[in-house]
Order: sequence, then structure tokens, then C-alpha cells
Amino acid sequence: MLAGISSDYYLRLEQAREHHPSPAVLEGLTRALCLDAAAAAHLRRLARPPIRGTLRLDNSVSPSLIALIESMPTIPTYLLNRYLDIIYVNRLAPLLSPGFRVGNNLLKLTFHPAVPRDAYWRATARRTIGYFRSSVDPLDEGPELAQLLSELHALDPEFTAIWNLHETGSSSGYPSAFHHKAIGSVELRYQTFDLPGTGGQMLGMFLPPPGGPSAEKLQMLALLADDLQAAEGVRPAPRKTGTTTAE
Amino acid sequence: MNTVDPLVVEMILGLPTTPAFVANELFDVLASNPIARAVTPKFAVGMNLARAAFIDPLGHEGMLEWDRISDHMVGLLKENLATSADVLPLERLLSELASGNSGFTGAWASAVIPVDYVVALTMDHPKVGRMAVTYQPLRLPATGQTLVLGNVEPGSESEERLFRLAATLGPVGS
Repeated sequence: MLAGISSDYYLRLEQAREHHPSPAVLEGLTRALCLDAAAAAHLRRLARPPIRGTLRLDNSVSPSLIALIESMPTIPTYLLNRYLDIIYVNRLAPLLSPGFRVGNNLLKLTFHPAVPRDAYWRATARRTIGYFRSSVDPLDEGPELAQLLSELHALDPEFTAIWNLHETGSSSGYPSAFHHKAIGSVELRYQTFDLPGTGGQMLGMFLPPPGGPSAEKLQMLALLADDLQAAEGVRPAPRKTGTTTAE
Repeated sequence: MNTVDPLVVEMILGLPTTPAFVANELFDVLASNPIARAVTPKFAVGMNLARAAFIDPLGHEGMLEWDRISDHMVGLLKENLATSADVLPLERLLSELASGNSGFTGAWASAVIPVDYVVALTMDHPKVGRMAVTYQPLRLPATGQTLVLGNVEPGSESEERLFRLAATLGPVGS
């Protein structure tokens, strides 16, 4: 057997008569099923009891995290809770896409009826759902999750179709294209980071690919964001951007 | 997995005043930016932060409240041992730490998995003086890697000192 386990043991696992496979068994299954890193991580999460129980949903954002996000003013960034609700954005994020605002949900934005269903959308939607499936706690039976899922099923039958594929994965590293009237089209790559100890908060950043014109375009957008804020009568944060010079 | 996504490397190199490094589950530093290495040479690529803490006698020079920091690190090692896909290298590191230093064994016995992962670290820097830097870990999904970003309170004396240190490094990319 490729997985290095007996067919009898595999049958017991499959029929859920065996609940605590050892790391060696999981490793064998990962190899035999040719799982990629994200799928293997998901398998481990399903198989191993969590170190702590499911943490309470926490939408509070720590001041030091806000200071950190604001210290990187040229990177469009948002913070999500484990249900992909946006709970913090920096100034650049809503300039990239007006939907990136606190209170919106990334999945509901994706399945909004006004969004055109093209091939790019389909690929993004599958990745977002795959990411959601691998980040949400498999043991989560909270009312928030049930509520969100029922809203999404009602919003679009295509959500149900993709959800039922049971795909898991990371949406990190994929290209993301935006258009802004001041800077034109900008090609970025989406990177997510998990914040340990926060009950599943995740940071989503749109990073400029090395060597391209995107980094410069983001700097222009950051200057524009400063102007917008100044026009609203708020003083921009006294933060240095770009290179520092000796005083 | 010890290869860092080039996109993440490029990102941290573009941060002139944010100390940043990427470490694996063993606390090997896999990538870092110039301001991180200026804050402490321990953030140089190839260093192991656990070894630096427990074996290197100069590991905690200039670091205040060192016990709290090293206990935190041991708690993280304990968590990694429970969740890692590949525990063999971790077990090797742990036995190395245990044989090299009696302080480690005691710390391991009492270590708990942290509740708060953000680390506030005050240090006396040889060039610019005392700085309080808050380190935020960001986990790169499905890689076992963690990006750690340091930040200082806006408008604080620590910020002024960090900026002064950054100014000695020359422009980004040089």
C-alpha cells in the first residue's frame, strides 16, 4: 500500500471508526493521495484535535497591528476575520476597489449580483472559497458561520456548486488586477498572512511584483490618498515613506 | 520548506524602517531586510534564534526582560512540535538545546503555548540607544514559515531612534 497502512485500517479511517490517526499515517495518506502543501495542511487540521477550543469571534484590532499596517502606507492592506468579514482597511485598499471597506464580507462581495461572471471571476471565486474552506475551523458550529453560508447559498447557486467541490487551498501569490482612474491598470499579487492568537484573523496584502511598474503606481496612489485625506481636513500621518535621509 | 517566496522577499526589502525577517518552524532566519540586521545581527540569514537565545553566550546581550522572551520562544517551539508536518528536525534542535544549556530544560518543562503572539521587546542598541520594538508574527499559509514585522510607536523616542538607524543604511536597494 502506497500510504504505508493496511487496507483494514484505511477502511476504519474512511468509515470514521478511527478518529486519531498518527502523524505517520497522515504523512502516508498525503503521499499516497499526492496532496499539495495546502491540502496536506487541511488534512492535518481535520485529523488533529485543536490545541485550544474554537476561539470566540473577535473583531477587535490591536493598536500595535494598526500601527504596523499604517507603517506600510504604499501597500494596499485589509484585515479579515475568519468569516472573511473586512474588519480594518488602510487608506489604499478602498482606492483599489470600493468594496474594500470595513463591514463588507469578501465572499459576499465576490458573489454580488453586479459582478460580471467571467473566467477571471470564476478562478478568483474558486480560490476565495478554497481559502475560506481551509481557514474556517472544521469543528465550528457557531451561528455566524451558519448564517453566512445560508446567505451565500441564497445569493447565487454558483456558490453552492463551488462550495460542494470541497476544494481547499491558499489564495496567496495569485495575480490581481485593478484599475484606478489616476494610475490606470495595476497588476498586483495577493498575499495572505494568518495572525496567530487572534481567533483566525488574516491580513490580506496586495503586493507589487518585483521589477514591474506597479510599485511606482502604488506610491502615486499613496500620495493621492494623502491629498484626499488633506482635502477632508485630516492631517496625513507623519510617517516617512520611501527612503529615509540623514537629518 | 526553506525557500521564501520571492514576492515576500521583495516586500520586506522595500520596507526601509520596518525590521522584517522570515523564519521557519526551527527559528532559522531565512530572509531579512537591512534594518532588521541593523537592529540586531541575530536577524541575519542563517542564524537560528533559538540557538542564539540558549547556546550563544552573547545571545541576549542588550536585551531587557530576557526570560520573558526566551520563555515565549520555547512556548512557540512547543506549539510547532505539536502542529508541524515534519517534527524530526525540530526534535534534533530540541535535543541540541537541551544538551547545550541547562536553562533550556527548565524552560521547556514550564513552557506554555502563548496566548498573545505579539512580542514587545526593549533593547539597548549599541549605536542609537534604547528602543522598544513590537514584533508581530504573520504566518505564511501552508509553508511553516512566519514573517515577523517589527514596529515602533508612532511619534515615540524609539521611532526617532529607529529612523536614525535606518538613515545610516543608505537608500533602499543600494
